[in-house]
Amino acid sequence: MTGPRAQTPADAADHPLRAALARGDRAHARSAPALRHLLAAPDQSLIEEAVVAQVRGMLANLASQLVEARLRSRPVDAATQDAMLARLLLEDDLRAHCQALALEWRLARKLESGLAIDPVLSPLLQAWVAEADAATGSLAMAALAAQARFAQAQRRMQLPLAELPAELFHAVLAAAREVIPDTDADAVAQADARLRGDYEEGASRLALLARLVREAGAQTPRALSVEDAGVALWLSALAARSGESRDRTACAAADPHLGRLLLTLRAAGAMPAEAERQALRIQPDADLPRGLADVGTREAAQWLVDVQP
Amino acid sequence: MITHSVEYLARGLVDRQGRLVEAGEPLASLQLACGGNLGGPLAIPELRAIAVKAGRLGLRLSRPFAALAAEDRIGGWVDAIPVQDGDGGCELGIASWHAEPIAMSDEDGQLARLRRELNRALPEFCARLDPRQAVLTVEASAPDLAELAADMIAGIGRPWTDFATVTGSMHDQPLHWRLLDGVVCEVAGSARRWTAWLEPLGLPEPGSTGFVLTLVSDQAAPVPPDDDAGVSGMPSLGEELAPVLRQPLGRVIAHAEAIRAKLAGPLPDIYAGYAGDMVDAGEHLLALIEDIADLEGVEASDFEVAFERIDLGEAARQAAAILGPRAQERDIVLVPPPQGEGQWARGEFRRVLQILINLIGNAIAYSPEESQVWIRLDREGRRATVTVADQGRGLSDAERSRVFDKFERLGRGGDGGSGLGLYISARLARAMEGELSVESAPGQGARFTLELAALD
Repeated sequence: MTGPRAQTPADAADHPLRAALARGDRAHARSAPALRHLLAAPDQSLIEEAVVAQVRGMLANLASQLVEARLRSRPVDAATQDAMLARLLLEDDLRAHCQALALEWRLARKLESGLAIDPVLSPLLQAWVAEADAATGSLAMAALAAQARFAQAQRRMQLPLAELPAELFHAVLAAAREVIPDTDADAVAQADARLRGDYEEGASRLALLARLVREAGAQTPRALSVEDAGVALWLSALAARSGESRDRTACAAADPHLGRLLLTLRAAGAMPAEAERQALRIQPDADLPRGLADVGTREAAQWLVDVQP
Repeated sequence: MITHSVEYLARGLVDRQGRLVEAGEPLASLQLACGGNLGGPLAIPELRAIAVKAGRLGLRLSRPFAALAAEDRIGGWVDAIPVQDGDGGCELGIASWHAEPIAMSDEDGQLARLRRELNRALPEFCARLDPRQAVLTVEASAPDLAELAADMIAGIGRPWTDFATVTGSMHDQPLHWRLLDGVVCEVAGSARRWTAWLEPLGLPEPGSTGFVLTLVSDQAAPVPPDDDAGVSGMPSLGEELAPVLRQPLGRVIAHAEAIRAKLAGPLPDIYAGYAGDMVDAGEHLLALIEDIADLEGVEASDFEVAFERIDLGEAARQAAAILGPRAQERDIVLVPPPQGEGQWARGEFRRVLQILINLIGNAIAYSPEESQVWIRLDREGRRATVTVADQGRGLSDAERSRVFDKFERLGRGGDGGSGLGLYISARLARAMEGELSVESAPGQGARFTLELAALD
């Protein structure tokens, strides 16, 4: 004989087991199209398993950095880390940013194996490093070092906090305050202040690349040639010249539909034929949408803005 | 870790209320141009947004910014550093700064588009330039632009302004493209006046991926010369290559000569012999190049003779003096007109000398040793003549009819001749409104006569 039974509702339809059953079935039903999509997705998919894993890895790495920074003296427990990760997963912009980085890295790896384009040191970057102009040379060196660190971090599925754009950096610190127990307010405040004080957006890879393509490469068409510029500089130049965000540009390059990439290239000032050539460099067996030759650079830029939600 | 050390072009300080309380140039000027003033609210919209964000987040930002001043579009990079005391102010460090004239209005844009369409539809000359205005590709359809196109193709990578004379410009070239767009210029080989249009390519900076250069003229293209030689429009061996080849060939010959003469020390005779072959071959090549350069000159449609009053006797004596040593080598005696004997004619002295040297040179080459070559003057009515006569084997009728043909060598090989000498001489004679003719029969030597208009 078991303990006293809970009062079951008179109407069987309200039975908690039936509610649980329904919830489970709904979740299962929802998973079917997702699974089908994942299984059927070709290599270029934006949510290929490797990309999903990479994004999760970066977010987990960010979570543990946050937990460690705030709980310096105390032991770091797995439960707090999981809670931190769960919280970070809710940050839409952060997720999108990590996805863009993962897609960028996957593209860099793909072009390294396919076209022998070094993911760290491209011919254009090399030329800029060797530049007689001291300012450009040192900027290029700093960008090169940052790109080397990025490659290393991506291989380890990591993303240093300091590499986040300021808005995201701010957002994850705010998220950390919510999640991590505030037992020692002073220490936490100090940790926060230290993280903020050490943060320098200008030293991040993305800022260095953006500055480099604006200052050294404002004129050169080489920056829009992925085989010359390498994926990282290419994306930065494309974003800077088209006015699109770099994250969005990285996703466009990975999108098998290629329409956004072609229009971004056009908006960045690439000639239609050159834009198509670049798109085929990225996805050699793609079936390119037609009609780019009819689209002016200004029109392309306008269309990109129009479709944004 | 390598960091990029930043030296700021200008600094500024924004207080908690968003006022620009300190600013160096050019930041201060931009603040004024945007309608603000020092001590007033930061009036440069993108900088303001960055400063506000840096203050709000309490983080050091590093971002690009753009602004419109009165006449310029400003672009640059700014570091925004929140002030330590945390009351919301921030310091601005301008790390880079570019100014460029503002893009034109919509109406101007319409006109420009129309103009571009026209230029594209009616191009006599079109070139693609890189962002530094250096030539990448060239396409010319007008015949009088062929020279320009050839020059540009030979000089790809150099600024287009190296190849054209921009009227009234004394600045270092190339200027900013907006200043060159629509300039009137002159180009080598064309008498027409040209307007250069530059269409910038690329966004957001026009010209960031290069330019399309079109040349348009309001004057009609000249009728192309009826030129059966077909040398115009193509890189010319004579005019373009001869000067380039002369020097290295000269060096080859000089060095081979030094080896042949064993100037640098003892050497087996067989090697000295090879060096001798090199000298001969080099001299042959050089002579050939000179001949071809001459030929192209003569065949060019713009070949002109500078007529003057000349003494055929003087020309004959000079030619004989020049070739005296060569004649001596073969024990041939040259008999020019005696000093004092002269015959005035209408022609160009150096061309006549060139013809006589050719004729006497041939006579020396094809006469037996220990023979004589005579140079005689004469006058028949209004024609003055100079004749070079040798004691060689003479020419048959068939040979005589071909002797002035291009590349005709009458079966003689290995003597270093190009077969162009007589052809060139005959063309020169005709250019001077004269005639070059030959009388000969086998076994009786040959008599070449240059005939020009006589002057008293």
